[in-house]
Amino acid sequence: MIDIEWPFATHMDFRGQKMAERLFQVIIVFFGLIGFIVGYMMQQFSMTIYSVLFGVLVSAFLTIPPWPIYRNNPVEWQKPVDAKKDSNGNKNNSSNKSTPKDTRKAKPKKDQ
Amino acid sequence: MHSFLSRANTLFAFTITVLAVLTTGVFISTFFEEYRGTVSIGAVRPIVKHMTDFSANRKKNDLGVLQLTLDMDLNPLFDWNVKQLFLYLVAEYVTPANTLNQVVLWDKIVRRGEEARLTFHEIATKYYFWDDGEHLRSNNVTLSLNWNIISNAGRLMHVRANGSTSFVFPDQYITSRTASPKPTGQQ
Repeated sequence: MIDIEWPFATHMDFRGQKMAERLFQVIIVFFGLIGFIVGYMMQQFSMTIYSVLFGVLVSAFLTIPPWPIYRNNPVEWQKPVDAKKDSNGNKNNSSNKSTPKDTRKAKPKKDQ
Repeated sequence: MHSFLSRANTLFAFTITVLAVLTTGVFISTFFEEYRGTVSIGAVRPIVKHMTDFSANRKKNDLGVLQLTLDMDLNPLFDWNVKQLFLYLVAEYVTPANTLNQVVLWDKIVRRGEEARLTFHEIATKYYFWDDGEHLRSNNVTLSLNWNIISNAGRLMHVRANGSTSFVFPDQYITSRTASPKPTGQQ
């Protein structure tokens, strides 16, 4: 598949994609209906086609570039967890923490 | 819908679907249209010759020669689904050899936007009027104009116009080399 790496970000988040798709569907169907009525009244099918093509231009301008309104609901990623260090570190930390504290507390009492 | 190309692809596919639906709508909106019209046709100075048909079987066949006067207004036929009209003038007659003979004497293509009120005064026929045999003398021939509707989206219809005329060929051949206009064969 053609997958081009653009030098700028082209993504939209999922809500934005849904909004963009719904928007261009509505725009093109609207211009199609307008074009059908105008073409029927003028008895020129070319008017219908021009209307749809104009709708395509408007939709392309509004939905293909990644405008900021399509990025309002970014995906919430979880915080990265460092897998190897942390699982061992948790066990050692809990055992290490408890004993040094005990010894430290114990020692001053003994000295006094 | 992640990248430019997938968004553009979705938009394009949806546009094509919408255009297909609109074209079907155009087809349905003109489905019951009959495209009738009236024309006036005149046959001027019909004569019959008896000559060898070099394009057929080298026998001597009857050749009818006449001039045509036509007057028609085709503007009402061009609705939004008609791309062009193909007009053709047919001569029909009966002979002992065939129950029905049809010969096309003249045709024309009229595109949308071109001049649709046509008048021709005593033009030569575009094609030769050969008979399959030698039965044109004293024969009653009916000239009628038909048109073939070429649509944007729809059926190809052949419609016969109102206003056909009939004439009778003379009962003698023209044997001497009289000055009669020959068919042109091209527009």
